[in-house]
Amino acid sequence: MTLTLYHYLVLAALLFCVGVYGVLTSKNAVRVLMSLELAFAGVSVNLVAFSNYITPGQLTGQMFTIFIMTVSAAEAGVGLAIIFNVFKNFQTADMEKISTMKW
Amino acid sequence: MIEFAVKNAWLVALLPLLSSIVITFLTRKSPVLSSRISRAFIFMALTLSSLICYEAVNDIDYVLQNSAGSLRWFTSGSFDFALSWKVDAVTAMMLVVVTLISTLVQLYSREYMEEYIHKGYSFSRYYAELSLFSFSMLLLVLTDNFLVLYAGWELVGVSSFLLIGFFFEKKSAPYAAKKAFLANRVGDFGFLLGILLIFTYTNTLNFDVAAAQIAAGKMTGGVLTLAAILTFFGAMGKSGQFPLHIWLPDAMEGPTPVSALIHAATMVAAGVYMVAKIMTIFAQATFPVLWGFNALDFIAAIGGITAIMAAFIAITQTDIKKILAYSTVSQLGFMILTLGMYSTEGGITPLGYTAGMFHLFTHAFFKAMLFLCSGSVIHACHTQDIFEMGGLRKKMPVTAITCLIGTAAISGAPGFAGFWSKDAMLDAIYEGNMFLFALAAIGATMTAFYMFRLYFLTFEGEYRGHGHPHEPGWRMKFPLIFLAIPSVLIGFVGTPWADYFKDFVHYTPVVKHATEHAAHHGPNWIVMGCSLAIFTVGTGLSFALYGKGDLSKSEALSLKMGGLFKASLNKLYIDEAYLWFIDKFVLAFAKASSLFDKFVIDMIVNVVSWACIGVAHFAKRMHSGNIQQYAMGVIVSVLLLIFAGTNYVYIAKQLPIYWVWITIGLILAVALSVLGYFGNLFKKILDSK
Repeated sequence: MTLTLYHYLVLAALLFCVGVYGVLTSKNAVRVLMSLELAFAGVSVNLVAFSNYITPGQLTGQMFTIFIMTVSAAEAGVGLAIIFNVFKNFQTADMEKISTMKW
Repeated sequence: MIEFAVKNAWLVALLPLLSSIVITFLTRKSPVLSSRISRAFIFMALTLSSLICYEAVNDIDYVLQNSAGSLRWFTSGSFDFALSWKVDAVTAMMLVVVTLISTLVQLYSREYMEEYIHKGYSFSRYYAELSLFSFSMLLLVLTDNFLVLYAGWELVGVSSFLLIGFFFEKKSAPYAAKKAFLANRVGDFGFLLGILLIFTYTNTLNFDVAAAQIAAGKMTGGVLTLAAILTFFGAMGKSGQFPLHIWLPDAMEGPTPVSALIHAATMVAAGVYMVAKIMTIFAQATFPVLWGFNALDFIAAIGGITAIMAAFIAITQTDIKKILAYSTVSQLGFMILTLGMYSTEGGITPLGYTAGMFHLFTHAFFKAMLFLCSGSVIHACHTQDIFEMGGLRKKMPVTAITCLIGTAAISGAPGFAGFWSKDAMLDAIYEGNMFLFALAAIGATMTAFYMFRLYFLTFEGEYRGHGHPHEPGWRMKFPLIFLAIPSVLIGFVGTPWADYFKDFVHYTPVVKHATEHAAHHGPNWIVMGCSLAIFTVGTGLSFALYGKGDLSKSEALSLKMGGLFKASLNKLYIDEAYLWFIDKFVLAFAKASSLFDKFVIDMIVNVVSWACIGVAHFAKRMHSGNIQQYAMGVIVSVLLLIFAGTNYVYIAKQLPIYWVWITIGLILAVALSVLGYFGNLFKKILDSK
């Protein structure tokens, strides 16, 4: 069977949804960051698929993906630093317990 | 000078206002200066009024044409509310009466009130309030439109309240002031309704224009009678007619000069004056209300009841001022009764109108004088009870003679002022209704009786008290002597043979058209005979019982009257009846209203607030602090935004009942919130986590 654009889009959607699900329901803060990386992966697949099928000569989508990977690496580092500080203050990395940002 | 006075008639009212303002704001700390300013200004007003009245007597048309003026007050919609004034014959007469008696009373007060200054009561406040009263009364008298009349009416009520409650540290004075104002207010409510009715139908507030409109047929039948009776309620309140007379005897808590000015000569006359001024309205209100009574019959009936009831109560009173107060109520009843005899049908001259105004005129003089005499006596003996006086004729001859003149005048001694005016009144009533004539005759006899009782017990016989009575100073004697002259002589302007007063008053536009078709009226000998008989019988009875000036025969009165004596002494239990009515009905209604206010009206407001709190309890859950919930919110919002413009939402909006769903949703939200607030639903949800 020939792979069309839609197949890749479905794959990207699936990856993204799983990532978002992980972000929203993880109890562990590090797990949230991992799920976020999964979402990035889904977005990347989406971009590359569009780049390949819509504008085959140009490498726009692939360039965009390289940038995403760079930025996500930096942001993961920063996120882990934040979790580190939170752990220092709350003695826990449990997302449900660090809910003091309210009235 | 006369031209200036007539063209600027409004100045007469403004001068006392100026003095009141100056005293209130500038000279509070210097009582003597306040007194001088007040007396000076009212004297100026008196000279202006005298000039205006002089001109009115000589050339009434000049005054009618030149004294009118108007200031636009405000405009509302298409109607201009104006402060307008005009002097006609009755107004000119009232101007002189009011300013003259005000001047004399202010002079008298200078000496009378002196002893109270040392007890801490303020002279300045007294004079400011007196001047305010003069202004209000003159405003009332000068105006020719209902709005300013009502304003003046209320202002005299306020001044009366302030002055009755002058001795505010006495327990009873503020109560009396409150009672006076409330009784006035009840009357004023009816008055306002009457004015509003007249305004609605005739679309004007001016007396003459409204009268013309009514004559042209704008208001007829039941509505006109209703308006007339409602307007008369104002006169009932202000002039102390039958149900609303309760405040006048209690008003004697005020200083005696105040009683002389307000409750004898001027304010209580305002009601009678008003009825006279809008007489055409009353005269046309001929719709039979009950058993053929029309508005004028109602007025006459109330006047008659008042006259005889007050005379009956006065017979047994022992407080000198209360006797005079009830006497005033009774005389006002006579005046109102006479005014109710006005009729333009059948060629009868409107005698009632002129006789009523004539008695108002003469009564002002001798009643004020009688009150001032009583003040002189009270000042000397430091008591108000006539049983503790006696024999004062030897110690206070001037007061005694002037009091004798006043008593003779009010009893209708032949030749004195009261004789002519009472004769005129009885003449008018005789033409009207025989039953009321009999009632009036009995009332007049009782008047002679109790007034001479007052004189004999106070001035004849031996002194029964403990003080050292002596004649007062010139400031108190001069008004007495000055007022004694009109009490004797002024009646002669209105004798049946040469009725100058009637001719003068007839120039008022109200009456002119009626009298042009009426025949001239000579003296009615039957009525004159009755007047003489009334005086003789009343005075004779009084002399027989009290002539010696002692109390030896006073028991005879209570024995002869029996149970009636007790009723008379207790003021016919009218105050008790009022209190019972208030207790049973008014307070119950007030309680019901208060409960309604608390549980229905407040509840509506409370439910709204509870709904808000309930919704807040719901909405509070958005702020959980849970970061992942916040992220969820973001994602849901993005999805909503993406799908908002799609076909699904567009189709849903086309359905005509979508707003029904929204409304149901809102109501459910509110209901759940309220219930939740009450049922502590949320407590359980929030606390359980």
